[in-house]
Amino acid sequence: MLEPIVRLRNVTVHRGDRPVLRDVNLDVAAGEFVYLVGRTGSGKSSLLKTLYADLPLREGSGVVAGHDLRKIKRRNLPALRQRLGIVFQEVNLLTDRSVAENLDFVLRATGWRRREERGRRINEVLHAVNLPAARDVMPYALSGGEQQRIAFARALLNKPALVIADEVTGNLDHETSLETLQLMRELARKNNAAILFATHDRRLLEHYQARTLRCKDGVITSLENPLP
Amino acid sequence: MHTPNKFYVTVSLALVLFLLGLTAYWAYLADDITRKFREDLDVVVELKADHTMEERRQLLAYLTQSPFNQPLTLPKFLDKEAALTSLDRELASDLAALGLNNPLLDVVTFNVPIDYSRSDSLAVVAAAVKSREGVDDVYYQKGFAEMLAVNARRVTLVVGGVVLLLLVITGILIHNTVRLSLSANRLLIKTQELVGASWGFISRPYLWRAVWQGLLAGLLAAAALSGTWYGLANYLPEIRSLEDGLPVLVICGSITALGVLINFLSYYIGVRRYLRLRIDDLY
Repeated sequence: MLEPIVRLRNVTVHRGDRPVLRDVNLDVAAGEFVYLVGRTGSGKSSLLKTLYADLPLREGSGVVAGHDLRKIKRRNLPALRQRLGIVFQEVNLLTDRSVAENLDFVLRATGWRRREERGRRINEVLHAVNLPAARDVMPYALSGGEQQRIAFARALLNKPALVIADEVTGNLDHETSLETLQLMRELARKNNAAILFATHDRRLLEHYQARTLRCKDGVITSLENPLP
Repeated sequence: MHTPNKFYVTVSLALVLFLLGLTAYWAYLADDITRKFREDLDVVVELKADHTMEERRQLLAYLTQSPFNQPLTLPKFLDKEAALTSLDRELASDLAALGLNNPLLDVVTFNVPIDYSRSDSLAVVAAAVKSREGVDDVYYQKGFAEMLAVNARRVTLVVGGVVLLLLVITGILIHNTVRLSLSANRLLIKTQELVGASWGFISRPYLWRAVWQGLLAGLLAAAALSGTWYGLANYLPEIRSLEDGLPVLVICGSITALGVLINFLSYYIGVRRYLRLRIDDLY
């Protein structure tokens, strides 16, 4: 069996100094799709932040994409983050530049030196999210769903091993949410990327069933039958 | 890219550099004037009315080779007739025509080197010369050089304090601007952090801006300083005679380089601190 992308053992997730989740044991295999559900404030975001080392891991052990979260140093953060694709509810596209410039910015930040290669990769990801014409458009000229697809395209740029999606459909209507989810699942499968998809929208689970974890009352439980 | 804030930083840095340059030039000028006064410090040796030619010859020989005569200069003998003529010229009178006895004495004058220009050294020099045959008395401007030296030191101290204060103010100003600029760009920086950009990559644009901004501020200050000097030299031609503008050029170059250095360091420290704080807040 392949080494899992995420392996957490007896982890306590802290928000500030307060523990929000205890005894977290979690394995995510390569290419696997996992839902993470729970109410706002249940610790979903804190768990995800711990995974990309935006929150420190203080108790338990954790390995993400080959990086030990207990031992990770500041200078190793870039290496970890480059294996991940992170997408938020707030789209976080840079509003002062076009879609292509947004993507180019990330590629340059992650060491893509050749302009032609960057251009080619930008075209690839824009085609992948079915928005090839959005290249020179400013983010505010796109709809919410389109912006979220661009944010996802941005997350795919460096062929991540794991995509962390934190409430990405929070601002979208139901139909657009479904389209976005479908697209993400397809692309993740094509790229063999695992997805950890945090949402509080239970209706999404009805359409695309997958392994589901729930954060509730300070613990994570696996839902055998997630639909009520 | 050019927000008013960056404009203000450039202008205030230029202003500080200009003041720095001005104070440096002021210090240079004070030092230069003091040195010139000290170099020009004459000791006047009055010879007895009945001194012999041999005594005068020996005194001149003694002074020429003594350590308290400025090297490469010779002691000057001035006889009382010449002294009277020169006094007449200065007073625009004609005492010689009155046919009175010349009240003046023959004198020998010599320049002391700069390290003998302090009062205590001068007293020793005067005593040594006074003990020679045929010497009546020795005069010099007591304490004048000393006073100049003390004033020059005081000026240097005050100027040094002002410069230090200005540097601190500049540092704080730049630091605040960097923090403002970084927090205005925190989304940009957060994005870079999340996609895995290194600190070097994140800080590069700020450091480039620091270099250009420092250069611009330095050149502005240098231009202002040159303009001030030029105007001053026209107004007070004595300044121009004191030196040939090379020191001004050196100061202009220095404040430009200093502008780049100060700005670069301030930005560097500011950016690093900001990035580290973001992590320390978490860990």
